[in-house]
Amino acid sequence: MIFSPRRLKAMVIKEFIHIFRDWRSLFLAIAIPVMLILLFGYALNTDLKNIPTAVADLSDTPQSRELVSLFDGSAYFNVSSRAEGFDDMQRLMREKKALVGIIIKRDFAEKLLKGEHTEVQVLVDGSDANVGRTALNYVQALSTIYNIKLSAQALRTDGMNVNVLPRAWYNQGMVSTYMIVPGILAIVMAVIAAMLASVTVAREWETGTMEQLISTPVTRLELTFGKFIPLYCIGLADIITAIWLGRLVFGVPMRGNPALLFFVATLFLTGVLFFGLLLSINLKKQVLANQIALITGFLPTMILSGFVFTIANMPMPIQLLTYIFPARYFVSMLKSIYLKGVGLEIIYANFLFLCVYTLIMVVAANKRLKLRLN
Amino acid sequence: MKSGGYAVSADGITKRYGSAVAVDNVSLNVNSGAIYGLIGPDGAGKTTILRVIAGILKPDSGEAFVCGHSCEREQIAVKNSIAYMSQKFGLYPDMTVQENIRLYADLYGVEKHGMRERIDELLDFSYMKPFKHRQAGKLSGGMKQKLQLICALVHKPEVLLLDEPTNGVDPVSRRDFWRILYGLVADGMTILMSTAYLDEAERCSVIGLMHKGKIIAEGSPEEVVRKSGIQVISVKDGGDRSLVKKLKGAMGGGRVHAYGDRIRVLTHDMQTDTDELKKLAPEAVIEPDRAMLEDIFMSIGESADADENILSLIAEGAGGKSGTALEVRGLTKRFGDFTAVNNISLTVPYGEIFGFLGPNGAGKSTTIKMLCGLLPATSGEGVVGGVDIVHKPETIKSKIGYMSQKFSLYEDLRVYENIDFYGGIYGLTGAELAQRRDWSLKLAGLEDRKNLMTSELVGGWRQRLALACAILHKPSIVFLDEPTSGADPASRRLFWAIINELAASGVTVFVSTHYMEEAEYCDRLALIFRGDMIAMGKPSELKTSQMQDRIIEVLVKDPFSHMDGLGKLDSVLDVSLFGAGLHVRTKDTAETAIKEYFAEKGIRAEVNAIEATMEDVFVSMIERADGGEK
Repeated sequence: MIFSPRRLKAMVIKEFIHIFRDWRSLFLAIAIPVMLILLFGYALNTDLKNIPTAVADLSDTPQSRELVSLFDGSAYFNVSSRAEGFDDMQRLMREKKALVGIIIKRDFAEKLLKGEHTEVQVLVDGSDANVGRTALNYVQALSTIYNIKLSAQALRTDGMNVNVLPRAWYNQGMVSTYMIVPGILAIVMAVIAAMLASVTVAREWETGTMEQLISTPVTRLELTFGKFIPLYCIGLADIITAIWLGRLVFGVPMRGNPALLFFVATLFLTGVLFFGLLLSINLKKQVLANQIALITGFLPTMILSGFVFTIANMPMPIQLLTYIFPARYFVSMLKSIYLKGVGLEIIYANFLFLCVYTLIMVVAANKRLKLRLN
Repeated sequence: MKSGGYAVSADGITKRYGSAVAVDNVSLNVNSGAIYGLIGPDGAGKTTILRVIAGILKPDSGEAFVCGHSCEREQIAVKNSIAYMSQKFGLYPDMTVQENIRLYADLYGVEKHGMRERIDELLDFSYMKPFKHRQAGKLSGGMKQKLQLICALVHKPEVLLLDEPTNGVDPVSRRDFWRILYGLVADGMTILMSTAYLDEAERCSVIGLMHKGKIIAEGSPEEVVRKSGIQVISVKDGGDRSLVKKLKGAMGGGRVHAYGDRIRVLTHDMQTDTDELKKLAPEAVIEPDRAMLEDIFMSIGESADADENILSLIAEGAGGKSGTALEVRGLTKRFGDFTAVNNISLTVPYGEIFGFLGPNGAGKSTTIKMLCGLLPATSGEGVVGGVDIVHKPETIKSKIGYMSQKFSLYEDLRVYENIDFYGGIYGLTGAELAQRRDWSLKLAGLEDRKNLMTSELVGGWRQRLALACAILHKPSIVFLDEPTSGADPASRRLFWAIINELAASGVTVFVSTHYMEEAEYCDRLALIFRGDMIAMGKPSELKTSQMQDRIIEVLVKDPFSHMDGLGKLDSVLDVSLFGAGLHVRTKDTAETAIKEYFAEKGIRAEVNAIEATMEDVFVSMIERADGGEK
């Protein structure tokens, strides 16, 4: 008999007992998603608010003042100081009184009224590259808005009534915490796989319980799935915690179909858990399996999944590398489901890749497990 | 089917690990209902055979069968009809007794109907019921082994495979364990086991003596002894420890060995040797004795001859002194509410071998750890090697040597690297370290293998290397916590020769053991039970003054079947298995009653009143302290 529900149930109960009796691991399994959500939610927040801004408005006309008020009125910039000229601006920025400087030329309004091309000089403190880049993006966005506004006004004078409102889609505020939750789901699962799944078979070899276990009629499927099911339950509980926390603390909405999300998460979780089991089965040493799971499971999920760093910005070889890690497909699907609310028909390619990965892991873990000594 | 109706049969099994041959073309057959015992030195291949038959190790060639099923091709049928108990504790320490049993019942698919009754029956039979809800990791060594046996028995297997099931188990628990085994055999179960205890081997219906991967003798214990042609002369001295050395020197080290309170000399010419012995030891009682498996075992041992060289090393390498080595008063250790050691007082001079006896979990290791300065005492005071144990426990460590129960050398270091490491810790450098390194390698018998990985060492070598590392710095007090647990008789004897030599050069040796014959080698013994020291004295004192009961030895076929009958006789306190026979403990002489019992049944039995052995004393005192007479 290759499979007996009773033996599987016995294995599942046994594994649950191990997990619940080892309260430190259990606590970590639950605390990690909470910690990750809070840490990433607050620390990885790349949104800048109230950037101290200095303005040198040499034009000092209604038009230039309108431009300045556009900056000051946004949540991102705070016009905190006025500069008399270029040198004064340099001083303010060197003293870190301003991160962004706007210099409006004397002939700004004049050229504008003539319908000529004009420029505004924007200085950004690039010493903190991240802040600089973000600030630059905001400046560009605002100038686009201002340009569109001007064009619209121009059109209106021609009798056209066009009301243009630029919007960023899916993440209207471009809030980075929105990106966090889908990414965290992937990380949490990778951590569980590394922390719990990678040690569970190795521990039985190390303590000698395996020798006793394999002398019973227990089969490979019962053994691997007996270990998988309890870990899957914990993974699922973690996913629910993460979604709920994301919503409660950061107000991240879940727009997609919950059933689809659950389905995709199950697929990924199964894949990474069996990956952890595979390591455990092959290496037979807890510490080693754990380390390797962290390096090959957790780190790529963090770095190469497109969660923290945008894949499109990576050099080509690294971009190619991301294709072999399942987290890429999962995070991409999650973002789509979570924020766009799309269905399976849009993301089927990613879905197929993930299916293949998971299948390989389940088969490999079962194939590699030998109920023999040596 | 090639099994020929045997419960277990192995046909030409060979198994190699790399270039080393673990089992070399071994064939054996076990009749249904028999107890087959595999004995032999460490690394002889006993465990490998058991693993092959259990279907968890693939042999390089040959095939094993259980109840006619091939262990290779019909694994499921085999696994359903056997139960295997591995040498390491194979159950889950974080699960309770009941949870472990339930797990195995489910894995074996025990019929639900009547399962609860079956489990209760097993728990009752093994006296484990009160511990049903205790986590397995918190059980004592003896109870763990019983639990593992229960888990193995829950599906009523036809064949039971046991790999050294009683290693590190105290005599009381061991008796209990064997009572269960005999009960199973009476119900028709077949048992194939390996054991390091030769008194257990005497109880088997058939034994196979393994040596270097082969079975070199097979048959009933009596047959094996008879076929060997070995005769034994027993020499009982008056406690003169140097006599062994003298006899070894005169008659050849290989044939003279100490066993319990006697010296046994193996001989093929009884008369000549008896005469010679009488000349060598005019004071001693010299008489012919029945040869035992122990003697056969010693006759195949090859390391025995190395004794002399090794022993001569000790004297030059020991840091002996004279005077009082250790004096402690009222030593107590509590862990929360639990008193592990209660009010122990000791005074021990240099050069004494002091033994700690007691059941698993009695507090022996805790006591030793306190005396070493490893564990602070809750209360009490004392001086070890001239250093106050309460105020300067750190200083004690440089004066003593300690060998813990677990193997504490680094398995991933080479042999000499371990020695260098410990030498470094004790502050040895340069020429001194080199000299001590050579000395240790010689002592451990590893001169040619100093580059070996420590993990590759087996049995006796590991223990000797651990001892060598513990005494590198020439301590004058040495603590050895169950140093010989699980070692084969030859390694144990060599180990004890080393201990003797250490003591002779003025080093105090504290040692704990579960082997009762080893207790006889101690100058003084303390019996510890539930944290209390319930007796202390010389072995001979314990056997006479402390022993209030009388022991009658019964040698009879199928001893287990008479235990209940004898137990019901008047004035019989207790009947227990001892070697191949029974020991009956009585208040007064019940010899006549016992003889009548066998005469009535028409059974031939040898019934003799004998001097109590250390094991009888141990069990009797534990039971008295436990208040559990009959």
